[in-house]
Amino acid sequence: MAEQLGSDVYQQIIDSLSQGTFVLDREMRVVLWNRWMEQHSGLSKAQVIGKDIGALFPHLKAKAFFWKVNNVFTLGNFAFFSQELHSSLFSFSATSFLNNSFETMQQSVIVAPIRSVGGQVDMVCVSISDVTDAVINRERLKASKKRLEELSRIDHLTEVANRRHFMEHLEQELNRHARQGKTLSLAILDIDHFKNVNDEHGHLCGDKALVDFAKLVSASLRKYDMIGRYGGEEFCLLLPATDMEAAMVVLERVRSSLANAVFQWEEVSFKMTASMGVVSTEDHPDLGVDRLMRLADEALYHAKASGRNKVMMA
Amino acid sequence: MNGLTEIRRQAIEELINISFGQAVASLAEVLGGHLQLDVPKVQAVSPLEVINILSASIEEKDEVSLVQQAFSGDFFGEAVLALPGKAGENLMYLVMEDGGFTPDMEIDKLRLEVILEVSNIVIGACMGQFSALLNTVISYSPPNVFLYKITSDRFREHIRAKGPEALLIYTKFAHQEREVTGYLFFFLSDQCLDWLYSEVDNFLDFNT
Amino acid sequence: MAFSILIIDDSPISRMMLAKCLPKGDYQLRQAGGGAQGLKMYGEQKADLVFLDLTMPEMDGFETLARLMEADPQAKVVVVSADIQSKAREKVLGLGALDFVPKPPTAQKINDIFKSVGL
Repeated sequence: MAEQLGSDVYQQIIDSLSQGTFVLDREMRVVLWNRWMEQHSGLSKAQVIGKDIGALFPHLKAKAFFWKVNNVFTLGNFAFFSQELHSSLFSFSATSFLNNSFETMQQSVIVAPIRSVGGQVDMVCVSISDVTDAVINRERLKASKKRLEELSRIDHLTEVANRRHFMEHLEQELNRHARQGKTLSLAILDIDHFKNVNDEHGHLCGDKALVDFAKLVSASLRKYDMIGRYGGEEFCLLLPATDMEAAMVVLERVRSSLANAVFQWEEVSFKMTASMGVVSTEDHPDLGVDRLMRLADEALYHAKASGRNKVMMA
Repeated sequence: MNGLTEIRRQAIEELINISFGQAVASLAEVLGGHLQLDVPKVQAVSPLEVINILSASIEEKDEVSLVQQAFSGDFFGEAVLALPGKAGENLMYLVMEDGGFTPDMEIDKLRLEVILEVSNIVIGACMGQFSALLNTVISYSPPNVFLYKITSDRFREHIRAKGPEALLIYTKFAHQEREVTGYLFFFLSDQCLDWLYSEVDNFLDFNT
Repeated sequence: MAFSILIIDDSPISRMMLAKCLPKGDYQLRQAGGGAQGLKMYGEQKADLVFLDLTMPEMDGFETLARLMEADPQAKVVVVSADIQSKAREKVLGLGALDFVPKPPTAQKINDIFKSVGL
């Protein structure tokens, strides 16, 4: 047996809601305005009842609000305004003082059709939910993930050392080699025409190609050699206790196993080659990381300029 | 309960046909122009067939936007509206021309908003009429939009995750003047099929 | 004085639903599962009233209607359709259809149509 509650009780219920609730008629005039709306808009019921919502909040015109509300009147569907697209449909101040990176309240808004006895939609009920906290938590989680990635030493795609880690290690090794009077070689590898792989087969194929490339190079290295991912399709090799002659042997081995390999992704197979520039500290003693990198890079450039798929010495 | 018999399949097809007509008329009011309706198919198929259907009609280089909206009530599941290629963009232009509103939003956001709203309307109208024909009312969650390249693994994963297979209903609409084609899929959870089949039987008894 | 009704719709359920709305009477009822079949049946024997669906595969309702009216300009065709857009409605009336009934059809509406055609 359904109990009919008195209208005063309904009013109290509506005013107790922890979300904004207001009702508009077909002329967009406010017919109901709950306490939450009063508190957050700074406009009392007396000030808004009977007024055009567009006049009270002029910026609504630009936010697809009336378009969607009209659809609710004509078609009777529910309309949704997500926080992701609209953040603050209504510019109310954010409420939590402690938490806050947002000045305006982040909102999720739903518009519901209200039908007359005949079935026509003659009013709409708009509900505003404050989702600021949820958004803050979501942003925090994203930031944590990012920080975690930065702190880790591994490039998440290819699982070789990331750039920062490689460069730190290179610095350490340079110092150690200088102290011990040993020679170290440094090479930069760049995949030839990598852009074509992405363009022809898509980014997912490109990503897989990078993973396979890194694996293949790693497999051609010796025990103490180190590979790091420097950039998109650029990798660095650190060959400790290795002079130029020995470095060339290693790199030539890498180059040819690459050139001979067939890469596979779904039903597609293709080949790749890489150009390489190598520098040795025996030829350039006392140079720091930056200068050595630059020399290797120049050698790489020459490898590219003279036909690719080759190893050039600095 | 004998599952999807041929007569039930035909009945659901007809119900969706009627419901979709309502949805398309609603959309036409919002967009202007004439929309072409396809004859809907009702199949108990695997999500892979969804991918095949879409792949067959969409160029490889294209992106497809998927709007997904869950509904619940006596029967429940998910509706997915797939808008391939330029459809989203063209919808945006149609809405701006017809709706005559000059939005203050960035183009990217506006495009997403239009895609969401159009999907919301089509799905709501179609499901609304379908449930009314079966004498029930359902409620909807807010729609979510995803953008994929048609060849992407993630796209396939997303569709595949819609299993285990339930009832798949699919149909499409196309706009006469602009390149806007939409594919509407309904995935009905196999947990509600008993209810659905018994209501369909009632409908048949009453109306045929 | 039997008169003849022809229903053209690819959905068997839809044909059944419409048949159920038909008022009682002494008439012949034929059914076609598509535009081509419908035209053929009409060609073999004219119907006093044709109910025609719009969304059919192969030959759609618009084309079927145009060809029917061409074959017999006096044909009485009522479109019964799920495609309820106002442009669809205008188009069929423009092609010569008598009336446009949205699906699902009601007995009331079908009765009215019978009366208006003098059946």
